[in-house]
Amino acid sequence: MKIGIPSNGNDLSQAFATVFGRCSHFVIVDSTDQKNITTYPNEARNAAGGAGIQAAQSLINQQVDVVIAPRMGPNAWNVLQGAGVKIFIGINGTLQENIEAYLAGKLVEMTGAASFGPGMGRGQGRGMGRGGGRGMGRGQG
Amino acid sequence: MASGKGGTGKTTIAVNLALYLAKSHKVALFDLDVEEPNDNHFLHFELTNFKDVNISRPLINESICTHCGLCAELCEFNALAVLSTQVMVFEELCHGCGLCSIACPEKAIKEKSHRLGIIQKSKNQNNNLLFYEGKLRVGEALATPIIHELKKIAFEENHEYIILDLPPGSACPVIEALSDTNFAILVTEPTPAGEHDLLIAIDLVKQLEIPFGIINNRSDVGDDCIDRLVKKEDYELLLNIPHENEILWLYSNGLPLIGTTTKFDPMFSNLWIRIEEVVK
Repeated sequence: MKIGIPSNGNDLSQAFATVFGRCSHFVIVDSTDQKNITTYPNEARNAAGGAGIQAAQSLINQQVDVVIAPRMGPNAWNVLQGAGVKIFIGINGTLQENIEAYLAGKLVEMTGAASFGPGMGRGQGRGMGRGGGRGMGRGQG
Repeated sequence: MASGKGGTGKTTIAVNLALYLAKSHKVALFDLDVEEPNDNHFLHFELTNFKDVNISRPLINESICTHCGLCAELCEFNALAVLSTQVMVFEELCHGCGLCSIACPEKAIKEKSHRLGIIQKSKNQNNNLLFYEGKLRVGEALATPIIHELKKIAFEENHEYIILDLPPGSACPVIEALSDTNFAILVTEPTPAGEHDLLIAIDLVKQLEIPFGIINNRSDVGDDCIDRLVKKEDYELLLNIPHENEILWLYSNGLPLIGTTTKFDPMFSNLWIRIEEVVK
């Protein structure tokens, strides 16, 4: 299975990019052989408009099955959905950490596009709930 | 009649210069600010629909499309995405250039017409002043094709003088409106924003190689930044218009300066003399 991730560089130690359409590179990993990595620069990065569409098209051309992204505008979302690509919400961390989290079933599937107009990346909604549970059990006996 | 900044007085000067010239010449005034055409709020002409402005958008015949992806690859505006079984058209991004239908090796792309807006024309044919305005439909994003169509009308018809009232700014609609004109009047005001946006407008007309002059509106409000700029760069200052309550009153009541009173006739007469001097 091919997994596509927006990145700011071209190896798995790089940080997960916080934007989809205008990230610097895409990294594609084969889940059955994680050493099998393809990277390419995101040509949509400097597009005047429709960057999300062009970026999504490039991932489809690479025949990805899964995309891990921070959030996505409606146009890019529609392109990937139309091609049957599954989209998961990434976590803050490296690409490696995201792939491991995905393979461990820890990533949540994105249920819809961000609700703003095309190409209008506004809003900072991140939803980064950190688990904070501390053990408070008292020993009995 | 251009400006960088909005609200500097393009419409007021365009309308009144047109009314002044129409006393002795055949004049055509075109309101190219198709997102908010305001000239007729001061002219009160009866308008009639002249023509629709349409652009072509792609219509994909999926039964013969091989989904080769060439159209999406070529589209400058990323308005197409090609999946293995379908082509997605993002209509709001399409600029109507038609490249996709020309390039399609299977001839699977036809063009369908989409209405962007309308051009209206004044009914008063016997008057010395003919007026046209373009109106972009609410929800549409492309002003440039309507401006292009208005200019085609302007240059095809035989007018002694053509005055084009432009939208503010310096992007595609303004470039389309300025191109092939003989002279640009840049209307500004002596404020930081007025000066900043004037410099952008000057940069633009210089690149388009259009001779220009400057009108400094509300010239006694703000500071002397425009005077200093004009002196330093040796630009043509065509007119200073001082802040005056009567101008504001007429403006607020939708009345032109020329025709309502004769008080401002010398101002526009002087402006026209200056323009003729500079153009020569």
